[in-house]
Amino acid sequence: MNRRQAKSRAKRNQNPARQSGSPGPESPPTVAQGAPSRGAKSLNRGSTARKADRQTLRVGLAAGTVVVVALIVAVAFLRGNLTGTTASALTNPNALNPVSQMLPIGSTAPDFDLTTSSGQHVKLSDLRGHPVVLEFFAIWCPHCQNEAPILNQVDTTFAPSGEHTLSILASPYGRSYDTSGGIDRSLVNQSDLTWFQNTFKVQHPMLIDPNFGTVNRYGANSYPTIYVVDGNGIIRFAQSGDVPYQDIANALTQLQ
Amino acid sequence: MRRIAPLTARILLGLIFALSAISKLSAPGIFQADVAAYHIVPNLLVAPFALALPWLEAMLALYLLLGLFVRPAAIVAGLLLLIFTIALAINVATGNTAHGCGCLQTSGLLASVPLLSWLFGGLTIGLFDVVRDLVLAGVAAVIFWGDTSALSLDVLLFGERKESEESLAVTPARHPGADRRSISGGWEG
Repeated sequence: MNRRQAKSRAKRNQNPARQSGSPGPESPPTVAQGAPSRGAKSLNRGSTARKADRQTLRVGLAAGTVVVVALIVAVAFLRGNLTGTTASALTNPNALNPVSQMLPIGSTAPDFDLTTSSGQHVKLSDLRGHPVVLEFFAIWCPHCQNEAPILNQVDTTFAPSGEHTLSILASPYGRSYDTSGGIDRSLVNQSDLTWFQNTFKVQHPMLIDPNFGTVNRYGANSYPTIYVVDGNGIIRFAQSGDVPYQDIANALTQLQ
Repeated sequence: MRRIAPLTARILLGLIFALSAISKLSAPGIFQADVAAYHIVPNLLVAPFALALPWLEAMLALYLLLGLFVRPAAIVAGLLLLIFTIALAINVATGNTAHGCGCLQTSGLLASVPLLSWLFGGLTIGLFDVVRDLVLAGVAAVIFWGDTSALSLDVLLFGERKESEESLAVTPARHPGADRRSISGGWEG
């Protein structure tokens, strides 16, 4: 060590304050030295913790989403298979598009071949020689429900002399249809038909027109729409709305 | 602009799915009949499908509008729309068009909105419906490939952006030169 080096080393030892940046390996770090190191570590730890929290939240929300989707699918399967509303829906609502006018009195009643819910076929032309009362009705319609006992009375009075009454389903909706704008617009199904039949003690055939072909041809725009067809297949009476017993009875009486 | 297009796409698709879900839930019978009329979903699955789809659409709408899991939501929305497009295309190609689309039930709540009736209504389906759903699938693609950070819960909750900023901020501390102690030890040796 030459003289200059020795002097320089002595000077450094005499003035430790100037060595703040270079303590010995065993000396504890000063606050100024330690702070950035601890800060960086705590920042790292904080960042890692936040990252872990966010990851947990993300995984939790994703798992929650999967559970909710699974629940929706499970409930849909259970409800769908239990109720089977579509499988038993009796009509196609999109096919309902009746002509605007009812068929005029004196015109020929279009023939049809429809089935009851139990599968029994009824063909209008097979009933030639007998007067037929045709009612186009809706399960939910209060006027049709009022009309049911009237038609029962018609059956009681005229069926023994060869008259037939046929009610044709003319609306796609079941008994819960809300005419005020509609919350429950479930399609009409077998249980609706059974309910109507039992509640109003309907004895005559109730026919299903799956694509509303007959309903459309007969211009059944409102419920109920009633026609009286004579034994030659000619329309002798046509009216919609609340049709009194006496009007139907008069029409049938004139045919006898 | 980079963030506006995906945000607009998110809101548009979210609103459409929301309206679709609401209209289907308000007229479940009609929707089931429409699903059945496609003759694509097996009979046994028609009712469960028609019951589940509106709720899944409602979830999709919620996620898209809130910006939660946006990219997965965009994938699901896009796939759904592609499936709808294929179903419509098959029916148009085979001539089975005499039924409603089942997209938005415009006969109920939405009947008074002419634009919606024009876009989604009608008693029959046609090529227009196919093209419309394909375009909407494209809208989902815009969300998937775009910058979805605007007004997004993904950023707020999971801080994807902030995290990247933080990782940049702590980088110098990891640099060997930042640890003065190790340097001082070196000096002393």
